[in-house]
Amino acid sequence: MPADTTTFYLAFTAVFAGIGLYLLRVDRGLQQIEQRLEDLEGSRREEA
Amino acid sequence: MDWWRPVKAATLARIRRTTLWASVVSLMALAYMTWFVAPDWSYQPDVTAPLTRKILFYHPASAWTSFAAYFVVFGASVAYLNEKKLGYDRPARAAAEVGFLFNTIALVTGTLWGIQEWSRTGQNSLATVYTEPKVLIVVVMWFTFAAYLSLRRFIDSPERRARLAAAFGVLGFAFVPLSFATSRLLATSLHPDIAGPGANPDAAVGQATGIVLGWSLVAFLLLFFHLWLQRLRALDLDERLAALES
Repeated sequence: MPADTTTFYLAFTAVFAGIGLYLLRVDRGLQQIEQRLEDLEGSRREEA
Repeated sequence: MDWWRPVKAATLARIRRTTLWASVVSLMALAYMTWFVAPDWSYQPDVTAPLTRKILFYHPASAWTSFAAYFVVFGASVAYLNEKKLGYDRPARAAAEVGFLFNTIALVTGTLWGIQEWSRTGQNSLATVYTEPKVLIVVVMWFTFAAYLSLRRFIDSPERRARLAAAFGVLGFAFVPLSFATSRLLATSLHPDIAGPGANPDAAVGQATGIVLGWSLVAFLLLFFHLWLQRLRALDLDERLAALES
């Protein structure tokens, strides 16, 4: 059985690291899609 | 037609920004409250793992938030199965993705807590945790939503994908009431219930604990709402991108 302190800090790190990484991933994914959409719409406008 | 279309894009962007800051600030406040507002159980001789008990401010809130997310999946899935409109598939998918995150957090924190609190000499502590009825049901629910998210990648037809996903969404949500009932009805359950009908009186929380616990639920629900809106926006733009590229 791990020590009381180890258990708590593992859980605390898992919660905040998990949330932080997911927030970054979602935000970065959204930014990439927005950029790609902007580029594509821009090139379509130029073509027109 | 998506149900959120009448809301202006600028308003949605403002809501996303506000919920981001609100959830970040409330999570920071939760971390502070864990140390400085919640009771210090190390002074109680009957509490064997006082610091581990503070997982109480993360485990139930993440589990309840995942249940709320799966309720959104259930509602949107039923709406899709009734009306066959693809506009209902996206909110269901976004809620399933974010709910899966909270479900995973609940499982990880619950496993660590269970190993500490339920392990007895001579027993495999991990086996004790994963043979507990409520934990088993939540693990099956986790696998159902893992299948929900994985299967979507292998089906090309949007209608077939949405139909199968909706069926998995309804099935997955069925484990939520089951998990609530299990620990309340089964005498062999090790899992204490701190709230709702049939809650264990030994697990009742005091006022300070209740405040931090309530705060943790608000913080996690705010975060869920923000992430759900972000994923909805990404899925919406993805569809526009696919239409432009085709």
